[in-house]
Amino acid sequence: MSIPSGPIKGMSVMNTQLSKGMPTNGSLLKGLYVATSGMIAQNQRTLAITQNIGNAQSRPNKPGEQPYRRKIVIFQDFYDTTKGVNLVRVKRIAYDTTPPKKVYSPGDPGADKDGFVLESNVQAVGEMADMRDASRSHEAATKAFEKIIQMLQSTIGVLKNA
Amino acid sequence: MNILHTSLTSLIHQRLQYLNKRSEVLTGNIARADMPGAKRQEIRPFRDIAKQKTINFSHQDSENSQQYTLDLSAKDIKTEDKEIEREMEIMEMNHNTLNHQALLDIVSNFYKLYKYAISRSG
Repeated sequence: MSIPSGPIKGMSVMNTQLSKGMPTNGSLLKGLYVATSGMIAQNQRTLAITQNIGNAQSRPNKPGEQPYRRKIVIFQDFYDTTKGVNLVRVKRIAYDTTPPKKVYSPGDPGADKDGFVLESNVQAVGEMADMRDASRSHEAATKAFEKIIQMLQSTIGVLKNA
Repeated sequence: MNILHTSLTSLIHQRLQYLNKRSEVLTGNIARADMPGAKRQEIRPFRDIAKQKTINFSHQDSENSQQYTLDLSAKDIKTEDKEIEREMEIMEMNHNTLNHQALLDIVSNFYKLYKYAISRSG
């Protein structure tokens, strides 16, 4: 599965909701856009980490082939001209240049003539720490989203009860 | 004179706009927390902006909606020389929401007072 980068496709859901008669120039709505972009970026990061963990033990099928390389998600801050707000997105997926591990396993179909097979350069423990960090970042963006919704609800509540 | 358009309601309106903008800035900090080298952004204090923009407190021309608009530009947002801390940003966000709620409570009480005054006069 490839990790999407560049324009945030998930934002189209927000666009659809907001275009139903709601103005998009308010700061609170802009805040919702920012929080959503943060959540989407963290989702993509989580996907990359999950792929890394899943492939931690991956080995090549044939001798001479390269094993799975750890993916690193690089974020980018960009100005969305249509919404007039700075959002966050995945700029690109980079590959960790750390050399792969060399494991002695003579019976492996990917083993060379000396019996060594290359294994992915993923450190499962490090990935778990990254996963926790991504989870915390996603949670923070969700909390910000909730706070903005709370502010919107309060404003609507005042007008409703006036 | 329009009783709904007073200097106080104007000030509250502008403060609400400021808090809305601040929530956007704080959310941006949270979203950018994992970007390498990202620096914290903060909006200038309301007092400073209010002084600079010379908020109109007069009752004259009260129906002109311009006096309710706080024109916040990119210059009002400063990039601080410190890293973004998620927990700190969430705390600031909570603080911002509380301030927003407090102002809305004032607005709500205003409306209640007006309703009471109208019902008594009728």
